[in-house]
Amino acid sequence: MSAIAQPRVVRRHRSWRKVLNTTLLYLAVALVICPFMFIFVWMLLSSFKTGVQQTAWPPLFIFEPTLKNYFDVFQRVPFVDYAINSVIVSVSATLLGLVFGLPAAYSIARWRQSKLAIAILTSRMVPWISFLLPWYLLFTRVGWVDTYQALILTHLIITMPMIIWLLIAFFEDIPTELEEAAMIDGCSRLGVFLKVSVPLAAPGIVASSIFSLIYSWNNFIFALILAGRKTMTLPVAVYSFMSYTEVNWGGITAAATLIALPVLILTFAIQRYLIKGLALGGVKA
Amino acid sequence: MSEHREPTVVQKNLTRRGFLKVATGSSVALLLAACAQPVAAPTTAPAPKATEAPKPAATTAPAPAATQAPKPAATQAPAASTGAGDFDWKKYKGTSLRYVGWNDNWSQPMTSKVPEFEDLTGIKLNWEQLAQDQNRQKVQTELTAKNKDIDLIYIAPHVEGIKYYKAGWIFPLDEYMNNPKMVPPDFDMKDFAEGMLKTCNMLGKQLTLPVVSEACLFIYRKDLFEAKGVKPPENLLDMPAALDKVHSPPSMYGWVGRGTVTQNAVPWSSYLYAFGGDYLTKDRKPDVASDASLKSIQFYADVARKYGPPGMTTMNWPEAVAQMQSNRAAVITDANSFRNALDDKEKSQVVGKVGWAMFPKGPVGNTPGIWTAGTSISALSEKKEAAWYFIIWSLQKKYQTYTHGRGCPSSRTSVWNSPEGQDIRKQWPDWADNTLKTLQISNKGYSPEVVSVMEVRNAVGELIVKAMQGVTGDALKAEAEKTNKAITDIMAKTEG
Amino acid sequence: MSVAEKPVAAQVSRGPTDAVLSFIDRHAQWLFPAPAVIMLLLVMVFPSLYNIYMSMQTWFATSTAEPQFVGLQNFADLFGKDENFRDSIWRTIYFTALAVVLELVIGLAIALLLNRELKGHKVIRTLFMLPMMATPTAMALIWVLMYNPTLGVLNYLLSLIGVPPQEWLSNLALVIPALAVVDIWQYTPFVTLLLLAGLATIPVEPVESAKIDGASAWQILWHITLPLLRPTIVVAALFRIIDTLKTFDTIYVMTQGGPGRASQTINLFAFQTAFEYFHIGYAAAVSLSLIALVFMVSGVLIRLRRQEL
Repeated sequence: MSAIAQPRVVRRHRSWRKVLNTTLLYLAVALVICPFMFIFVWMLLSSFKTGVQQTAWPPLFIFEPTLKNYFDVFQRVPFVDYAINSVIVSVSATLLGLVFGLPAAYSIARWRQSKLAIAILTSRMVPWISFLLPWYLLFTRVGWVDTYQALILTHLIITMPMIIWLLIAFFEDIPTELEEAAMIDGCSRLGVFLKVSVPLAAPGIVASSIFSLIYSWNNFIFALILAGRKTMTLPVAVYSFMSYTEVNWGGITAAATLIALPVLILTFAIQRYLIKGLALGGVKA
Repeated sequence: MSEHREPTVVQKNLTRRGFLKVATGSSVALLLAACAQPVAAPTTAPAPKATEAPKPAATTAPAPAATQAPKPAATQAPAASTGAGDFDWKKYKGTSLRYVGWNDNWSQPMTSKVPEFEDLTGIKLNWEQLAQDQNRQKVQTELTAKNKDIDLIYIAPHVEGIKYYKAGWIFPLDEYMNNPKMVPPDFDMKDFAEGMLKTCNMLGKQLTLPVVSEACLFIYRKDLFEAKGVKPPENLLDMPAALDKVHSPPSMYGWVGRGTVTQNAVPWSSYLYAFGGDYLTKDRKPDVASDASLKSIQFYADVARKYGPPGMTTMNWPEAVAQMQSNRAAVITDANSFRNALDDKEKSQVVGKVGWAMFPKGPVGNTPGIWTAGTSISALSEKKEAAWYFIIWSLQKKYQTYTHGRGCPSSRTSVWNSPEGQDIRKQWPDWADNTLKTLQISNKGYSPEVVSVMEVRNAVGELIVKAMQGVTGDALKAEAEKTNKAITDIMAKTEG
Repeated sequence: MSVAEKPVAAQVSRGPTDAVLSFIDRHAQWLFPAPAVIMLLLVMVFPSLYNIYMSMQTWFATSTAEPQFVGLQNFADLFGKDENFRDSIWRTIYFTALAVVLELVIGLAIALLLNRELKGHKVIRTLFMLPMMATPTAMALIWVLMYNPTLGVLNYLLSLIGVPPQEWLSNLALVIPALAVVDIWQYTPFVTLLLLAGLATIPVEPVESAKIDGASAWQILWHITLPLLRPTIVVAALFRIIDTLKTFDTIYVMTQGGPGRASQTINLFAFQTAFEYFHIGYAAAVSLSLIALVFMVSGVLIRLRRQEL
């Protein structure tokens, strides 16, 4: 309204308001983000506290930090072994998921195999406990409890549908003209898939691999039952810290930090793919 | 099927109840005898020694000093025993064992001695110490899966004994115990309190050897009680009045205890017996809706609500003990073996301020719960002999003396009578005297005498939590009737 | 079209490899998805069938007795007699409804706030992704520490604004909301990011013309943006409901279903029946019931979505 009256003054007035508005906006954004970040901050802070600082009241925000908790984690439990187990399982399950999932996703996208897509989506809906129970009974018979193959096979339940689901969208985005051109040049369907489509879907492959890697790394319930001492993964290990001797919050928070850190770093490193992957996988559902 | 099961139930009945009774009676006699001995010759090495150990004590062993050791050569460190007899500590060197255990008051101090075991035997030991609930889940999951990887498990015979043995998971120790080649000459099997030994014998098999003589005591802050001029209550009904005096939240709560479903029945059982109730009737029907039982639940819940710190209903014993350690609670009615946790300078702020009184008499009964536990060999293990070596090593006098000194009351008579035992008794007279006294008056375990102990105990635990949440009166009675029914169902399913 | 091209290409080249390639070309439509379908059958369908079979047995895995066929008895017991199971259904629904509704509302509000040119919007979005990516088990432990009634930072922060200390996870009435807060913390960002992607696809014209017509911000939101965003909201709700119904890690780590059974959802009930009591057949029946619930709810939502399109 005032825009009509005094353009000059208003412009200045506007720019002042704009600054205020922007400031308020960023303040609001910061305010919104704070609670979501606070948990991580508290985890980090607690991991540098001694036992006494841990139980102080009111809780300490500023204190003399100690690294003892981190040394404890490595000294008191075979943390490195657990980490290696986690890596073996999540990487293998992701690679296998790609081997099986890539052609399937391509096929669903190219030939609009919506029934298969629905089957994949359905499998994502089934709670893991109903896979875990039969798998546990079967592995019990064949002596596979506490083996890598058991964990990798069950983690495939997590990785394969996720990879397929995310990749369908990426393959759909690849223009068919490119593939047809390659075919006219004498390329076979397999050749087209490997030489044209897969490279073009590379960002999607990265995104879906990272997603599946993280979800496999994070998985708790399968390893809780199917892993023993030899194959115990990190989430189960950190849970069992809680019941080691007394409740040692320093050790628990340090271990939690160490487990979550690779995930957080990975998320940051490939953020742009991840956000696209999430958006595509979700919106096109 | 059911025909097969019938006798076992009867037999179990006999075993558990009978054994507990005979068991504790005689064990106490023994322990008392041990302690009654004045510290006459404290300079000599631990008195009792018996070489014909292998025979499990069938009769009450005579007072410790009576037996003489025919082979005094082996008095010193058992490490040197290679030549003596046929027993060879190094026989299984190079083996490695996996022990899925607890984080309890025996296991914690013993962990620091593991290097000595590994040096002596050349056997490598991986000892995983988990909270009971997690341990039970882990052990059952892995053993159901026939995992041969586990060699040793830690069991409370009252809780897991029959269930695990019937599942085919426990390798009874009788064979090794009775083989002189498998027992170091100076081990002295007869030295164990007979009652505790028998408590570990179920369905005619020695499932484990007792590492502890645990009893429920009234554990309190001596300094606070003295400052307020209160004495530990002799009668349970006087307890609230005493707690009132020391209760000043939020800095000091009058009482703390186990509240979580899986554990609350353990300390509550002493209240139950005090009010004259029991888990089951004489003809093995669930009886938690009886007047006595309801009174005890109400009493326990009221105390927890009125004097307990926040978070009572999710508290397990480590958290409850932590409240005592951090100077936030004045009383806990629980195991005498908490002495280690409460009088350890590294963990506790209340060292030297803790008193150990008898669990108060109830309006009807006076039988505080007692308990023991021990290491068992997995029947699936392929290294049973080496596993036995750990058991026999860990229960030697010197280690029993060590854990006894760390607050885990020994099941060996000679330990109470040893110079170290006498020192402990001087330092913690109330702890020692009241432990022995409790063992003398009580023959009841913490848990119901059924096959699926945990399932039944959890059903009762839920009822207690409901009371702690405020369910009371007729509503509580109705809930208790439901619990009775639930227990009937569980027993029907698991006991045939 | 490409099919027509193929034979030509095949004829030009020679050799056995080409025969294979041309075979693949001809059958690509089922050869490509075949490995995944086989794996799907192996790792998911087969165990599901086994689960159904087990649900008709009564069997304790820890006993030496063999499983016994009981038909639908387990289901009859479950729905007819088992109050704990019935309670767990309501608990699951309560937890899911509470968490998902709040996630949608908060998630939408944040999405609207962030849906503009912001410096560092990439960093902001990535920060938002962290809660849903970070290992739930580890995060649940941090929440346990924060919820601790005597030394937790949450009670301290609330005390600053005058809220008396709460027992959170030990309180019968508070435990489900407290667990829902964790779920909200974890997955509101998921809703936000999804809605941001949805907002980006909304055409600008209707909004612009409404502005010219002098519509207020509220009116634009209510009458234009939200209706256009509805399909995305339904999808977000679908994903969140499916996952929240199945929540396991957080609850198991934080309360194991306690105090009492106050936070024992169906999933925990199934797990505890299976792996604490080893009552296998019964547990299979419980887990099948959970599947049925998930399918029912998502069926309704998918139908809702179809009607929209």
